[in-house]
Amino acid sequence: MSIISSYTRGFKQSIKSPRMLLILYAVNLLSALILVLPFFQLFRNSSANTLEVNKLVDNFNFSYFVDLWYTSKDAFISLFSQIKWIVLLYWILNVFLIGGIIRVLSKEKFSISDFLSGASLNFARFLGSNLLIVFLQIILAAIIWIPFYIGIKILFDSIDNEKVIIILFFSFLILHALAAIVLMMINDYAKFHLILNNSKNIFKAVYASAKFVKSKFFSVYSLYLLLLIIPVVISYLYLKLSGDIGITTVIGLIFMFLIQQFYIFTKVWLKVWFYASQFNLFTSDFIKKERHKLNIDFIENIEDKLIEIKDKILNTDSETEEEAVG
Amino acid sequence: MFIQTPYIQNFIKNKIFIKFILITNLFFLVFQNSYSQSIYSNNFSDRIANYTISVELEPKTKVLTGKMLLEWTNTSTDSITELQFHMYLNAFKNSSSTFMRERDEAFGGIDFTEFENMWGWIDIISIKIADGEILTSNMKYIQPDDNNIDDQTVLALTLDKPISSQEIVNLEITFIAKLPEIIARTGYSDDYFFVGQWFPKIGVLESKGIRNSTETKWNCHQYHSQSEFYADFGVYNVDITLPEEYIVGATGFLTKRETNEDGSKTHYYTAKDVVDFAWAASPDFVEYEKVWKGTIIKALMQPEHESLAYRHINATILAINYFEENLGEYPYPNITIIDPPFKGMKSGGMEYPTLFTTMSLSYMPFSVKIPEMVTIHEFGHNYFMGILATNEFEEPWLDEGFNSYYESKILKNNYPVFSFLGYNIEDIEIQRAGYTLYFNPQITDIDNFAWNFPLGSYSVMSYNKPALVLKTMENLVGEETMLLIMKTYYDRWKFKHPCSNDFIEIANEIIKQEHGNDLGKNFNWFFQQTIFGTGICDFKLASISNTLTSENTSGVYDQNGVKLTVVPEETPYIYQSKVVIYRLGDVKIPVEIQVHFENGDEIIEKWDGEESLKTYFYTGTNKVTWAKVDYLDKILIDINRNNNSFTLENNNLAYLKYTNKFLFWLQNFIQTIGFLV
Repeated sequence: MSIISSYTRGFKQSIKSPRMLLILYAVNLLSALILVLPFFQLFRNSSANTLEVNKLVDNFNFSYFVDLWYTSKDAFISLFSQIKWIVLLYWILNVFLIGGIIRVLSKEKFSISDFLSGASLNFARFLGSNLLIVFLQIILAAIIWIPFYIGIKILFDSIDNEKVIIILFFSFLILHALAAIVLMMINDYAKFHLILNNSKNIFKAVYASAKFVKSKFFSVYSLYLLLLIIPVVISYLYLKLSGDIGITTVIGLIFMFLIQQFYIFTKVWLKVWFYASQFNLFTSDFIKKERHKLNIDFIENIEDKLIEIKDKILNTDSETEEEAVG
Repeated sequence: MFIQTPYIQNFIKNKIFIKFILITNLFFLVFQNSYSQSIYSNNFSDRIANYTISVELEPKTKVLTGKMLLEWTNTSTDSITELQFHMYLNAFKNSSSTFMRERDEAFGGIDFTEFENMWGWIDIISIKIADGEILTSNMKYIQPDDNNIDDQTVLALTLDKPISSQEIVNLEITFIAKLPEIIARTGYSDDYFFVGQWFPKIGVLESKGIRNSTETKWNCHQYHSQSEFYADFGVYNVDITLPEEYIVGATGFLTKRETNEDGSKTHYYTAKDVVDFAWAASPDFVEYEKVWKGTIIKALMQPEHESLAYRHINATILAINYFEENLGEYPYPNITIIDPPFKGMKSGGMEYPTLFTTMSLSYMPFSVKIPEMVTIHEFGHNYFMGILATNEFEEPWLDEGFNSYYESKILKNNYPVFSFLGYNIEDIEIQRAGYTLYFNPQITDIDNFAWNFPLGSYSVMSYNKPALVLKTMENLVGEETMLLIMKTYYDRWKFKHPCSNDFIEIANEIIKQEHGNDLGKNFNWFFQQTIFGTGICDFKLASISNTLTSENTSGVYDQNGVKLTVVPEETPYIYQSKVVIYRLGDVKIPVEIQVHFENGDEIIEKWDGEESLKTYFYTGTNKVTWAKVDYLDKILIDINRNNNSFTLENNNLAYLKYTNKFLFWLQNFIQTIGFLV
C-alpha cells in the first residue's frame, strides 16, 4: 500500500469510531481534571475575596501572581509537584488504550467490549515495549547530548562567538528530534508486530519493527512526516485564533473553552489517525509476506482468507496459527 | 551617519567608501574637538584628581605598562601626611584577596585551578613627587575594611613632607599591570580587552562636611566582591598604544590617532570632569555612530551582534531624551557603547563615565527587551555615580536604586521588558518581584556598606527595594513634586559627592515647599522606615460585615404573658457595616481606603496607618460590598497587594479563566507526552 493510500485509509478509519475518540478524549480530560479541580479550589481560596483578581480578567497581571506566590507558594508547589504523577498515570492509560485502538482499527468497527478486551489483552506487552523504547530514547539522548556537551567544552576556547554554540545546539536538537521520531515509529510498529504475530517477545518485536522501518525507511518516515503536518497546521491556526479571542466575559470564556477542547479532541483524533495510517502500511506489508510464505498465487478469496486469519488471531486469547487456519 | 542598509554594505567594498570613512572620521575628530572645547569652556567640577597617562598594551602577554602624572589637590582644611590609592586589579591577584575570598564564599567552592594563567595584578614600579622626592619605598598595602593582610587593593603612601590644605601635588608614577581573564568587569577574553580600574587611582579625601565626615580622612575602601567604586572628578588625558588592528573605545573623546614606527597605533583621549577612565579594544569591533541633539553616540559591536546595534543606540536615545527632560542636560559631548563578546560577557552591564558596556546575544528576539533594559540602565549611571558621584562602596543604593527607578520609568514609557503571546511584564513589576519574593526582605536595611549586605541581599537592597521606595515616594508626594526634588538634587549636587542625607534634605525642603505639612512636619518618617529601617509594609483589608440592626424586627415576641406577632414595617433594612483593616507590617504609611456600597456610593477614608488595627463603621440602608486600602496602588513596597482589598461579590471569571488556561496547558502537556512516548 502506498503512503498516500495508507494516509487516506487511515483518515477514513479514524473517523469511523467517534465513540472511541470520545472515550480517549474523556480520558485526557478526566486525567487533567484530577489536578485542575484542586487548582481551582486553591487558586480561589488563596485569592481570598481580593479585588486584585479582577485585573486578570482583561490582561495578564504579573504582580498578582507574584503576590499569590508570596502567600501560597508552598501549596502551589505541592500541587504542581503532582503533575509528574498525572503524567505517569496518563502515560500508563495511553499504553492500555492503544491495544483497544488497534483492535478497533483492525476490525474497522467499534464495540466497547472489543475495545476493552483489546486494551487489556495487550497491556502487558505494550507496556514492556514502551518501557524498552523509553530506555532506548534515554540512550539516544545520551548519545547525542553527551558528545555535544563534551565537544562544546573541548572546543569552547576556539569558538569565536555564541552563534556557533546556538547553531550547533539547534542542529543537535533537530538531529535528536529526527532520530527520536525513528524510535517512536519503531515503538508503534512493534505493537503491530506483537499483535499480528500474536507474540509476547517484545525484544523480537522491537527488532523486527526496526528491520521493517529500515527496509521501508522512506515510506514510513514520509508517512510520519506527512501525518505531522496536520498538528502543526492546527497548532498554528489555534495560536492565531486564540490571540483574537478575548476572555473578558463569560461568553468569551465559554467560547475559548470550546475552542480549546475542540483542539484537544483534534489532537486525540490525530493520534488515532497516526495509528490507523501506520497500521495500514504495516499490515499491507505483513499480508504480502504472509502470502509469500503460503506460496500461492494472488486471488481475492485467498486474500480474504488471510484477512480472516488475521482477524481470528486478533480476536482470540491464545490460538495457534494452525488452529486459526484449520 | 548610521551604517545599516545593504546598499551601504556593498558600498563598503568600494574604495570610495574608504575615503568617505577617512573624511568622515576627520570631520568627527574636528567636530568633537571643537565641540568639546566649547562645552568645556567652564569647569563643571573641582577637578581634584587630574591624570595624564601613557599606557601600552601588549595583547600577547596582557600586560599594561604605563606612566602617569597625577595632579592632586588637597581640598581639605588639614595637612595630610599620607596618600591612599586604589589598586583594584590586585583583587584578581590570587585567591587570598578580599574580593576572591568573598566571591568564593558567595558562590561556594570556586575551582581556582581554572584560574591558572588568568590572574591579574598591578604594581607601582616607581612613585615620586614631580621634581621632588622619590617615595617608592614609602608604599605599603593596607586593609582598612577587613584586616586581610593578603589583600593588596589599597596602597598607602607615606609622604616625606606633608601636603598642606589647598596645595596641589604632582606625582609621577610608573606602573605595570597584568590584566586578568575577565572574572568581573575588567580583563581580556581572547583578543577582546575591557580595561577598567587599571591604573593606581587615588582615593577620596573627605574632609569635614563632605558626606557624613566629621573629620578629614581617606575614604579608600578595599575592592570587595559586592562593591563598586568611588573617586574624585578630574581631567584625564590618556594615550593608549597598541597594535594597529585594534579598534578602541574609551571614556571621553578621541583627539588624535597616530601610527608609530613599529606599526602600532596610539590613540589620544581627553575626558573632562569625570570620575574614571575606562577603555576597550578589539580588532573585531564594528563601529556604528549616530549624532543625537549634538551628542555623538558610538556603538562598538561584535560582528555577530551587529543586528542589535540599532536597538542599543535607540535605547540610548530614549534614555538621553528622558534624562534631559526630567533631570538635567547630559553634559558630555559623546557616549560610547561597548558590546562584549559572549566569552567576555562578564564585562557586560557596567558603567563608566561616557562609556558603558551592554549585553547582547545573537538571535535575541525583539520582544525580549534585555538589551534595551541594560543599555538604559547603564546609560543612566552617567547621571547616578557619573555626575552625582555618590560613594558606591558605602551607599550603593544612591546610584543603583536611583538608576533602577529611572530605568523602570523609561521602559514603562516605551515598552514592557517581556512580551510573549500577549503576556506583558513591566520592569517595575520585576523590581517588585525581586524584593517581595526575596526569602527575607527584613534581613537588612537599604543604607548599608556594599560588602556588609548579607548573602544574596545586595542586589535586592541596592536595586529593587530602593527603586520601589522611590516610586512609592513619587506616588505619595505626587509626580510633579518628585520631578522637582530630583531636578533640585541634580542641580545642587552634580559633579559633587552627595550622600543619603543630602538627598533627604532636598526632599524635605521641596515637599515642605509644595505640600506644607500635609505629609507631616517633614518626610523623615518615610525615609526612616524605608531606607534606614528593615520593617516591611503590609496592609490588609481583613473583613467586611453587614449586620441588620434591631430597628427592623419581625417574629413572635412574649409581651406580658401574651404572644405577639410582629410584622416588619415596610421600610428598607438598616445595616450596621464594619470594615476592618490590619497593618501587618512595621512600616506605617498614611493610606486611603475606598469603601464601596451596593448602591454605587463610595467613601474615601484616610488613615494614618499608626495603629495595627483600624475599624470603620457605617450605618445605612446599603451594604458595603467591597473596600480597598491604598486604592490608588501608591504603595509599591507593600509586600502583598492581593490582601489590600476585600469583596463580598466574588467575580469568578478570573479564576475560571486561569483555571481554564491551566486545564488546557495540562491537557496539552499530557497529550504530548502520551504521544511522544
